[in-house]
Amino acid sequence: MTSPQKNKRPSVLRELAKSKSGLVGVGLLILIAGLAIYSIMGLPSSLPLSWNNGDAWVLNPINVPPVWFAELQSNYAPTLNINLNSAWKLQAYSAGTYDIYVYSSSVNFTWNSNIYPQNVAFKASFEGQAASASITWMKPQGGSIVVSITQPNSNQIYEAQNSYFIAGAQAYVTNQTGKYFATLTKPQVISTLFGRNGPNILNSTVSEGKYSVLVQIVSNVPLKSLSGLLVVIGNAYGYMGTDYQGKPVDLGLLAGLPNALEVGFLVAIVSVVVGIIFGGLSGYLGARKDGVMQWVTLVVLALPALPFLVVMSYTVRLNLIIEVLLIAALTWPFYAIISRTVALSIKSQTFVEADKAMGIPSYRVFFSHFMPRLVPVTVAYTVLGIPGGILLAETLAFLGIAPANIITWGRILNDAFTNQAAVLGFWWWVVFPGLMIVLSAVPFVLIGFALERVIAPRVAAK
Amino acid sequence: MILSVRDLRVYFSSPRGQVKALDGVDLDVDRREIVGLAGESGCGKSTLALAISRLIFPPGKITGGKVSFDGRDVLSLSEEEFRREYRWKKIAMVFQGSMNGFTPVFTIGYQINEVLQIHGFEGDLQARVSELLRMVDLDPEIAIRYPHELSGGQKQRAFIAMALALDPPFLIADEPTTALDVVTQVSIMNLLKRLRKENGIAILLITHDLALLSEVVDRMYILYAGRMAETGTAEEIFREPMHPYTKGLIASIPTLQSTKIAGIEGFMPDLANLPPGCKFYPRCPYVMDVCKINEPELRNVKGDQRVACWLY
Repeated sequence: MTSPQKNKRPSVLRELAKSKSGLVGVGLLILIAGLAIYSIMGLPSSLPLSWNNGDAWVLNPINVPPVWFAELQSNYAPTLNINLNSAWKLQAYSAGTYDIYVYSSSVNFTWNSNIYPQNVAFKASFEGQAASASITWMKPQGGSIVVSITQPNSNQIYEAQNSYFIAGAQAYVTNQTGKYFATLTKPQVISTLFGRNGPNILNSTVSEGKYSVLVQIVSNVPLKSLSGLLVVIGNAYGYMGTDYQGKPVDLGLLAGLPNALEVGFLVAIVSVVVGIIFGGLSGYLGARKDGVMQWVTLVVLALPALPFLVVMSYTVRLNLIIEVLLIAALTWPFYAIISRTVALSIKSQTFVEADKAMGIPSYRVFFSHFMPRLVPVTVAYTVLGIPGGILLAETLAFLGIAPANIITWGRILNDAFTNQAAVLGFWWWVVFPGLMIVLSAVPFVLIGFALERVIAPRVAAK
Repeated sequence: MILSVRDLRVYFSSPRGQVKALDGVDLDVDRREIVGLAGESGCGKSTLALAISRLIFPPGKITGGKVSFDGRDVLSLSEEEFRREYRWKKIAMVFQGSMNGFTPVFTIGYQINEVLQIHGFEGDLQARVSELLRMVDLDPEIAIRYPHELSGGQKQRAFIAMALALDPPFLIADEPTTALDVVTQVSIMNLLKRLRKENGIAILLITHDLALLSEVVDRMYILYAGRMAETGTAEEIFREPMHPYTKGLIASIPTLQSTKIAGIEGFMPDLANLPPGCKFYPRCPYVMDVCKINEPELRNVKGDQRVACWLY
């Protein structure tokens, strides 16, 4: 009799750490999990609602490449979001029967690009009624353009093509050129704001240097929760550019990540659990029941996945859980076939016959003696099944089949497709969602293969 | 008579036709008796053991006959009834290769516990497991071991301990010592003898090793191609085997003096395609015309010895 020694079991994690691909997979997985957590915690919960509402994104440039890409191109005009909140100064006057409140804020920014911005926009939000607002735009070489807005509305966006801006620009252009222009286009207004002073102001190069903007809002009543935003819209945005409505692609990808992972995980878990139990039982019961269950498995396996899902999705009100169940309804046969073969090999072993002779009930034999040996085999396949679930869900979203209340990468790609992004050269709109799908699949594939190497040989040896 | 098998038939359906693994077999085991069942590989020994414990699964089928346990026909019971009242409580079994009878993923103690619990054992489970392991000369420490940590002999003993868990009156030992070394074989046989003596257990010992059988059994049966060839007390059969097949079997036991092992010419017939008449006639040195036409029945020849052969 040997002395009792500590029972050392090989740890799956330790084995995983031994394989390089497994380590890379775990690293990527941690990265993705971090992004997903950031997405859940850091993004506003109203984002999915405002996502497809174009008005929410008018302050962003449309169809522009990522900033880092524009910087490489040497014709980069940055997008500047200038917040006026902290700088409000209040001057109050009494004019006999009524009071006048003047809120003023002065900000500076430096424009170092030799490219004109796409647009300029101003927005103020407040509670109460404002009588007027004026924007005094002082250029680096001197001279100022005054844009006066009568009775500004809270939260309304005033852009360069707005009549108040045109009026201000008209006065300045007449002053510089000595000519009167009956109307000015948006590029001409922007030329006025950013061009070099002189008779050629409408066709000049960009005036680089320090700009000062004084914003004054005048009211007869005190304004509450006053805030203001001045945006210079450049020709590049964020890490991954924007789409046709100015929606930042990076934000969309980040917002879509938790849903993609959730669908992938749930699909893999549901289909593996159903597959193990169905396939395991099929192998365990054997004979005619096995035949019938195998027939069912093969019929489901033979169903063409996409057409089936498209048809099914129109018969139900789609939400995330129903989508998961629909996809899992098609993917479980893979696991059923694998676990049936494992179950058949277990069934032929003496200990199963022995259990039967011992009078251990069938269900107990199955759950206590088959399942523990089926589960390790299928763990690897669960991990490998996650990217499959993600891919199928995004494919459906591309076809327009996705729960309405979530942001999906498939939908972003679909938008890119319908807006001819590939033809028009908006590569960032196609490449990044595609890369994201790949990036979310790679860690699971790497870990899955590493796990398979750890777990499968042990099963094969038995 | 604790077990009596009458005219038992087990057929397997196969693409080549019906394989008659057992065709009209009678067998009796008395209380506290060790009965041997011998024959060469494929003659139906294990099938008989499995049929008695109702472990014949498709494509196999018990097509006829009766298995009575304590006078009650167990083949007519429902599976659930049989499971609850007979399995392991009254009929325990040590399997061919029982060392693989333990599930590899649980400890020995857990598995013995499970059997006790399933059959509603009341009392101190741990004490019972230790008692059982001690009964088969194992250290109770073994309970916390996994099957792969034990030697073949230890596993065999542990399995016998598990078989004894519910104090069964009857134990089927199907080749309990195959794949074990000779010293372990003898110690297991001594264990079986002791169990009969101390626990009063009746044992059906199945083996192809006649030398081993001669050491332990009271009575024995010789099975050939799914039929009984000869039966009698061990003494009778070893002193004067009557069936030519038994003679051949005994002659093929190697002795220290013999330089050449005598065997039986030929092979067992295909069970799916049996010859008419006596199933042994193609290999029989004493074959007569009648052997090729009519099948002999077991007949009492001398004392308790019964032989199915036209010579007597």
